[in-house]
Formats: sequence, structure tokens, C-alpha cells
Amino acid sequence: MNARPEAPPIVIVDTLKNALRIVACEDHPELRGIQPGQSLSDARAINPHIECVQRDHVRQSKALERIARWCERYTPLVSMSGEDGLFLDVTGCVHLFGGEAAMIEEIKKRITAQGFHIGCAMADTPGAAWALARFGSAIISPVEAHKQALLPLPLSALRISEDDVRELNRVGFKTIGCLVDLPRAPLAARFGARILQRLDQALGHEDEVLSPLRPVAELVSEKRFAEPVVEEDEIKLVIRLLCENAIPGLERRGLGMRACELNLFRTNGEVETLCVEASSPLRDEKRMAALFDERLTSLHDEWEAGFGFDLMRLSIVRADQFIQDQHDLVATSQNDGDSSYLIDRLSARLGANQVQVFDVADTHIPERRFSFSNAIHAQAAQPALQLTSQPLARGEGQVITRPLVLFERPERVDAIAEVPEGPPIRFRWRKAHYEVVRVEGPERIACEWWKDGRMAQTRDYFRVEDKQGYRLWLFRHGLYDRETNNPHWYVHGMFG
Amino acid sequence: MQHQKQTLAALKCAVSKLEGRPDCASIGQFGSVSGHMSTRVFKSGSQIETSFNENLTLGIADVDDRLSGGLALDALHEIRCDHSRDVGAAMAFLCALMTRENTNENACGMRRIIWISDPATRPDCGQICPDGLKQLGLDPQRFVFVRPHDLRSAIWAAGEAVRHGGLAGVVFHVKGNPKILDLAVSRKLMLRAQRGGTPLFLLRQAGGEEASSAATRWRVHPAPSLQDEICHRGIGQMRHRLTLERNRIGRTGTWPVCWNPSKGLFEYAARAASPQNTKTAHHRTTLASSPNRPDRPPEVGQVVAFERAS
Repeated sequence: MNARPEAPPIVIVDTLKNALRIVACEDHPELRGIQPGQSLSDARAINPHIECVQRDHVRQSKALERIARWCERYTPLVSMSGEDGLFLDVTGCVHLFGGEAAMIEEIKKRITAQGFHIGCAMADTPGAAWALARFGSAIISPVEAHKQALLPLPLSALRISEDDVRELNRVGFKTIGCLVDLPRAPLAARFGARILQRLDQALGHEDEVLSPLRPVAELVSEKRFAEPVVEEDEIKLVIRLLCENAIPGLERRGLGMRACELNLFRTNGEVETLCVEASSPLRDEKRMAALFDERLTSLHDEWEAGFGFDLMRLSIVRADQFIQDQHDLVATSQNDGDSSYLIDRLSARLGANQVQVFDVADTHIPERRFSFSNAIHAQAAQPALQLTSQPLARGEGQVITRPLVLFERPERVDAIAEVPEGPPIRFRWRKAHYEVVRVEGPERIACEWWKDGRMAQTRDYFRVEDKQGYRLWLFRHGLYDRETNNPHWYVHGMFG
Repeated sequence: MQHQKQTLAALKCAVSKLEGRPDCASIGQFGSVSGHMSTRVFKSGSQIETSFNENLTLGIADVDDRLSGGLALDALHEIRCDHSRDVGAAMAFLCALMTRENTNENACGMRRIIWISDPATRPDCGQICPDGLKQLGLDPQRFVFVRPHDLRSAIWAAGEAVRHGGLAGVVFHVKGNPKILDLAVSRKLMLRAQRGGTPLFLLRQAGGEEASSAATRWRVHPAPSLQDEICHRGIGQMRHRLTLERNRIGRTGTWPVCWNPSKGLFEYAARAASPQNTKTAHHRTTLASSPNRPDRPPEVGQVVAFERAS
């Protein structure tokens, strides 16, 4: 950890029990006799040259989270345990790594190689594994044998509070074995039900639910490499292979990919994640791979392979039912379903927020009347059928009351208008003068008092045409004499 | 000599085929391949679905004749306006044109329209209002807006959208004459439009004339509207001064046109607004501005002839 060979050893301190105490120390010959839990002054007495660093809880938990992400290469079910531990639910994953011993050996070797000191253990229950990792000698407890391994361990191994441990110690219970055969009711009455719960969880009498950091994917396909992959072409090829592998699984379940995640595990322990989405269920490896290609291309500048990746994993995070439709022999490729692929690609390359469709709201305030939502998500909400339901009737566009272009925020103009409620006569907008020739209006739009509050002002909208033919949408903000004495004028939109 | 002529004609035909010029037919005996066929060559297998007469007509015979039957639906068309404030007119013309497409092809009337805009257009132009579109006769649900972070991605998006095909149209909205949107890029976009069979409208906001390989280039300028039938002071059908600045297959021209929403077509609207409409809404006469001077704001108030003092 310490890259300076001649530098003094580092210890990490924190305030515990009203004293600065050592919480972690380096594995260094000069630190002999110094151990976690000691107060800093004692440690200084042993070795005055130590360098102490204050513990940073935030960075510590961040580091732990990154280790957790890295551990996802072993199992999708990784959960945090307190601020210094991780639970890996490896049920059903062990055979992939050549057995329990080989797996735990690999985890230990790899994490140690990254500069961390860890204790790890594998047992039938989370509680037992927790206890063995911290206090036990055996790393792997054989199936159904965790009870024997737990009995000689101290009570702190039960994940109960310090106070409870002290209380139990005072009455003579030093190990877990002391508690196992005691009558339960008096124990619970005196020390609380929590102790029994922890005991049961450790022994496997009660189930313990672990909440994984991230939801488990629908389908996962992954590839490990003996040598790290660096070249972009190779990465793309592997993505293609992973997509191909995922397709049969999707077909079996009758699903199509909606959201998909690619985890790239770097050799130095970092994990990169790329996400792509599809607006309609997708079951075509070429298209899936093309979406990732777009994503990679868009990241091209800010992303590099570094030392390479030694594991790539494709997980289908979200999948929907895939409706297989039969194609006509002379089918046109010009239906709407096809444009969804274009939307997917554009979204993958430019970002989902850059490809949007209208979202109409039920309000009269023009700027709140519509908003934009991501096209990739909108299509699922309102299927393509609805879109093509009914063409607009000809002649519907006869009366024009709304502009074609609405400015993001109304632009203030200097206007001369009739007082109190007349239309504008002339106005200056964007440094040009306009003389009003024709006017339609006013169209009064009241504010939404339930959103804007009491002081919000009414708007009187006028459709205005000037001498040269510019057709604009102006409004006077505020009713004269009732809401304001000096109403301002704004241009809010342009007509054709 | 005859042999040389034949070779030359063949080469010319090949060149015009490459350029996608539809008037290849007029060249010698090799002109048996009609123009539309030549552009369809790229779309192998899809000839069944495409009818031969798929052009976007405006509805005015004079204009459509000059375009030999309307705007080609598989080409790049440029629509520009001189100033940022004219962009509303240009957009309205474009949207009205796309409404026409709706009427021309009933079967595929509900295909999507992809609207790609350069981020530079945003400060001046704001956003398209769905109610405005609806009143013009276009379903807002058909629109997909693509707003990339830079022009280079916008050009990429336009190319991809056009090449993809199966869309009612692609609008590429840019501001001014950006350098990277040069002749080569427009050529590429044109070829992709031909290949995809999708019209690409380059909407150039506040941009000047520029060499491009667009099939047509239009300039739109707003003009005073016609008189409203019901409300005399009201605003009538929208009217534009439309200039066909460039036309690869015919002559150019200028027309005052107005959009007739009930019939869904453009009409020739040469008649000037009636005299009473030239007055301001407030019935003030204005003085004629004196020549050869910088423009100044028109005078306010009425001119009253006083009696001579002496």
C-alpha cells in the first residue's frame, strides 16, 4: 500500500471510546506490538515515528462498494454487511470456479493482489460465514458442519452489540457454545430477543434475507479471458458473441431485450458499465451488437481500455414479452415498428435524453401544455398502434390559434398598446420595430393559482401580424389596474 | 466517330446515374432507363412497393410544372430563410409540405418524421409547439426530435435517419452556413436520401445561399396574410413569398403562395391585400420614407393639413 519504502508506517485512527484509537495498521516490521484497538498514545510510545491518518467513513464505504462491484464477477448476489464486510451468495456458482476451495483461494489471492487484507470464509449461513471470517480458523466449513465450527467462537462473532457481549460475559457466557443449549425463554427475557435471533440465524434455524446491491438480471452471458482484451475490434467481436449467447435464452422464455448492460471488468479491479436500451423488445444479436457499437463509438474519446479487460459480462436487465409477428412475403419495411430500431440507435449513440417525442399535458398554460419524454421509453407506454389509430381529419387545421414555434421563455418586448386591455399597436422585439396591422384576440389564459400562488398574473394573448407579414404571438402579463399597474408585454411564439 | 459518340453518351449517362440526375433519359439512345428507375436501382427488391409517380406536389400547377411534377421524395431539399425571425415562415412552409405528403400517400400516411436540430438553432427558435402542428394538419405524435450536442453528431444522425428509410421525412434544422456542412457532406446526404427513398429537408435558419447538391433550394419570406372571411381585422390564411432559388431539373421562380388549410394545398395568392387592409389596424397613415437614407422608424400620428396662416 505504501509506495515510499523509507517513509514511516501508516496507521489509521478514529475516535472510539473517547480516545484516538488505531482502527487499522499497515503490515510493517516497525509496527510490531501495535494492533487495532490500541490508543494512539500507546502506539506512539512503542514507535514514535508512525504517521497517522484520520479514518474517512465516506471514502471507506465507497471503496467497499467498488470492491462489491468487482465481486459481481463471482455471483450476481453481492450485498454489503456493515461498513467493513461483504456477503457473496455463491449458491450455484461454485462449480464455475472449480469448487469451493479453489473459488475462495482465487478471491483471496485477487483481492490481496490489489492491496487489501481480507479475511474470508464460506459457510451454510451468512451469520456463520461472518463469524468464521472474523474469528474462525477454518476457511470453509463443510456442509451441515458450521455448528461445530461456531461453538468455540467468542460471543462477538454473533453480530450483537458490545453491550450485550459485556452483559453476557459478566454472567459467565464466553463462547457461542455456552448459549446454544440454554433454555430460550429466560435468555430472551433477560438479554432481549435480538441475541436469540442472531444465534438462530448463525445456526441456520432462521432464514436471513440478504438484499443484493443491484437487481438480478434476467439473463447473463459472460466470457472470461486468459489474457486481457484491449483492442476495440476484439471487444466488439466479444460483444457480438455475448449477444448471440443470450438469444437462445430469450427465445426459450419468449422474451425480448428492453434494457441491457455490459460489464467490463478491468484487470486492475475497476468495473466499467455500458447500458443500452431498446424501445421495443429486441431479439436480434446483430441489432443488439450494433447498439453497443454506437455506444462505444460515442464514448470513443473519453474511454480507453487501459490494461485491458479480463471478463466481459452481458446482462439483460429488463426484458418484455416478445411478440413474434408473421411477415408478409411482399411486406413493406415501412411500418412503424421499423423506425424503433433507428430510435434505439440514435439513443444509444447520442444518449436517450437527446431523442424525444411530445408528451402532452392537460393544462392551458402554453409552456406547460407539452413537454418531451425520451422516445425510447415513450414507445412502450403508448404502443405504435395508438399512434396510427386515426389520421387527422382534413380541415381540422382551419382555425389557427396556437403558434408553430414556442420560445423556451417568453421574450420581453417594448410595446405601445391601448390601455387598459387593448391590443399592441407597435412593439420592438429583438431590436427591430414592428407595426401591427392585424390583430386577433385577446385570448385570456388565467394562471394556475394552485401551482403559481396568489400573486401569479393573468395573460392576455394576441395573435398579431405586422406590416411585413410577421405573425407573432404576444401577451400582456397581468390585468391592468387589478393585478398590476405596469403590465409588461412578451412575445411567446411565431406563427407560420 | 459514331463509336466515340456512343462511348461519350454512355459515359454521360453513367455520370448522371451516379449523380442521381433524373434527366438521364434525354441522353441519346441510352436514355431508355427512365430517371426514376435510375434512382431506384439502389433499392433492390423494393420496387414492388414504390409507385413511379411519387412526388410531392404543392398544388400550384405552375410550380409543380417547373419541378416536373413536384418535389422528388428521395432527395435533399433545402429550405432557407434570411433571418432568424423568418424561421417560423420557413417551418410553416415545410410542415405544410409534409401535410401534402400525407394526402399523396394514404397508405403510409402515419410514418414518422424525424426532426434533427443543431444546438445552435435553439436560442433563436425555441421549440415546436404540438398544438400548432395539429392546427396545421400534422399529427404531433409522428414527430421524433433529435437534439445532439454538436453539429457533427447531428450530421451523423441525419445521415442515419435518411438511410434507414421507412420515414415520412427527415428535417435537418441548422443555423447559418456552418463550415462542416459543406458540399461533400450535402452530397453524401443526397445520396443517402436517394438510397433510402426518404426526403431530407435541410432547414437553414438565417443562412445564405451556398453551393450544395440539394435537388431544390427554396427561400421563404413571410408576406401579409389574406383577408379573413369572418373577421375583417383578423389574420387570414398564411401567405409567403416563395422563391425557388435552385432547381436541378428546371427553371427557378418566385411566387406568392398561401396555404389553404381546408383543401390542404398551396394556392397562388398574387392579389395584394385590399386597400383597406394596407391601413394599420389603428387607421394611421404613414409618411413615405425618403430615399437614400438609413431606414428610420415610420412616423407616428396623423398628418393634418393646417390652414395657411397668410
